[in-house]
Amino acid sequence: MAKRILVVGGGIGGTMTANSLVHKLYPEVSSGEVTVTMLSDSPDHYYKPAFMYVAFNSFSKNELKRPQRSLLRPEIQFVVDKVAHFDFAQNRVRTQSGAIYGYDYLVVSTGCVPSPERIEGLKEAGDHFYLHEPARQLADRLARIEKGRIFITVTFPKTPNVPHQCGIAPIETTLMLDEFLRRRGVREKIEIVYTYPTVSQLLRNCLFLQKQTCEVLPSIFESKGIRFKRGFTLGRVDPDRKIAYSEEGDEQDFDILMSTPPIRAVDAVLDSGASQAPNDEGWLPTDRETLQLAGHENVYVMGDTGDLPVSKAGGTCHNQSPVVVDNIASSLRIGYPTAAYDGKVIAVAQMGLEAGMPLWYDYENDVEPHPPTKLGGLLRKSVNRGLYWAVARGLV
Amino acid sequence: MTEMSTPATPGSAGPAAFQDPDTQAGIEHLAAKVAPLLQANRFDNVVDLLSLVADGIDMTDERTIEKLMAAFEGAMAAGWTLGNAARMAGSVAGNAAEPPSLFQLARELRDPEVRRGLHAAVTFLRILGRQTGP
Ligand SMILES: Cc1cc2nc3c(=O)[nH]c(=O)nc-3n(C[C@H](O)[C@H](O)[C@H](O)COP(=O)(O)OP(=O)(O)OC[C@H]3O[C@@H](n4cnc5c(N)ncnc54)[C@H](O)[C@@H]3O)c2cc1C
Repeated sequence: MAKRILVVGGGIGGTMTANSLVHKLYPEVSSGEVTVTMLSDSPDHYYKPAFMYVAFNSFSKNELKRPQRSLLRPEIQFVVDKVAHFDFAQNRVRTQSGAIYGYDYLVVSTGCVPSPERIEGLKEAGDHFYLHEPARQLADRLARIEKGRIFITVTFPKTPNVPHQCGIAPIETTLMLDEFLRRRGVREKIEIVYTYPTVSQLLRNCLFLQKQTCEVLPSIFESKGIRFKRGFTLGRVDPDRKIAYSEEGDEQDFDILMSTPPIRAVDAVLDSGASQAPNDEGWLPTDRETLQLAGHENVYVMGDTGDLPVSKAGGTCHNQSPVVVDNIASSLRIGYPTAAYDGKVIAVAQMGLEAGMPLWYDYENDVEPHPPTKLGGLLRKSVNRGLYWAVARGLV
Repeated sequence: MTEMSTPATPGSAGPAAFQDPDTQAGIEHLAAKVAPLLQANRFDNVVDLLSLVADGIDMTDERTIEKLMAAFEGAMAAGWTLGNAARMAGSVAGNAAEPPSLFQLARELRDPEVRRGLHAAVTFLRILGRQTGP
């Protein structure tokens, strides 16, 4: 019988991995010894980082999505059906439609879910840019605000040493916000306050989740008149009075509360019982080198749904994908996984509306901040506008 | 552009770098190497080219990138789709022990994917005709 590889999740991690699996295992796939199936709950693939630009009215919905089928090699069987239950012990999943899919190897890349409702009052009074609709709502507010106070908060998962989604996004959007309001000619009348919680992964009282970057931030913010505040862990929000309360006992008023909200794994992962993460966050316990799910050698975890200390970013998936592909291929061919993930993450940060800063780090080395440039900005825009779709196809 | 302080990298800081004997030797070596080119004015085009590249970067904006990337994606996606079809079709046909009979081939037309492919091919020809017409 053919060996069945099942990929759950048609986001960036699942898509590039399914494509690369077919490429890597082409002899076995073309002879029918191996099948690759993808289950995803959406017929469309969204370029999620563009939600950030939606908040500044510079990306429309049709520009940031493509039909998922068009991004997949034809050898992949693609089924639009949501996984309702993972049965890791029995090597199978059950979908919303009631179908059962067995597998020999499983790749879980189901991402994470922004969950502002996990902080009292945040859903009602806060804004965020981690999904399309909330980003549209924020865009309307940012396009209209004439004066007042924009208060920025960042919430980390309660699971120790697990970051929020896309570590650099709060800084990127703060700098974009500053330039956006300047272009609108209203910056003088709007106060921007950037805050960071007391605990950010292994750091305390910083402005970013890595120390070197944290140290250069004050001078950048000061040069732009952006106020910043350490030690503000959002505890609750009073939507009527428009006040954000911190767990440290502070209270701050706002006209717009631009938040990085709590996140969690998707329902099926949460309900699988495989996670011991506190606060019902559901991160799957993932081997930091092989990327296997703890206790299940034939299950691989990628991207946002894992519990690794690295950024929940597409640039992480990009470096995890070859490891997952190599490990499944070598397990099939020689009986054991051979590749190890070194924690590498690559990205091009958007620093303001025009400049960009390529960055990379891994388990051992932090990001070394360097001056953002226009060329870096053009590279980022090229990724946004086209290169991403080559990456998803597994071509870059 | 955003100001961001650059962390000092050991060994490369400012004029002190020129005091380093290895650096001095390297510069002397480089100077000796480029001296004939300098004397024969061979750098004019290189400098002009650099200037042109710098102009190009300065002139490129979001709109230019959007157009360039739309062209890139269009070409990449078309090439990818056709390449995929050729690869998989070649593999399927190559793996068949016997070529299908005419009757079996005709039966393939019942497959909606085959009909969709034919429809796309016929439409492709129609549009090609439109674009090459008077
Ligand atoms: C505003 C914003 C800005 C960002 N900026 C950057 C950036 O600049 N650089 C960067 O590298 N990263 C960035 N990211 C992060 C990046 O988008 C994610 O880390 C990346 O998409 C994670 O990939 P993934 O495959 O783990 O999950 P996703 O890409 O989220 O994909 C998950 C997929 O699983 C599907 N799915 C979910 N549940 C089920 C189920 N039960 N059954 C079947 N299918 C399911 C979903 O439909 C989706 O297709 C940003 C994210 C956001 C929101």
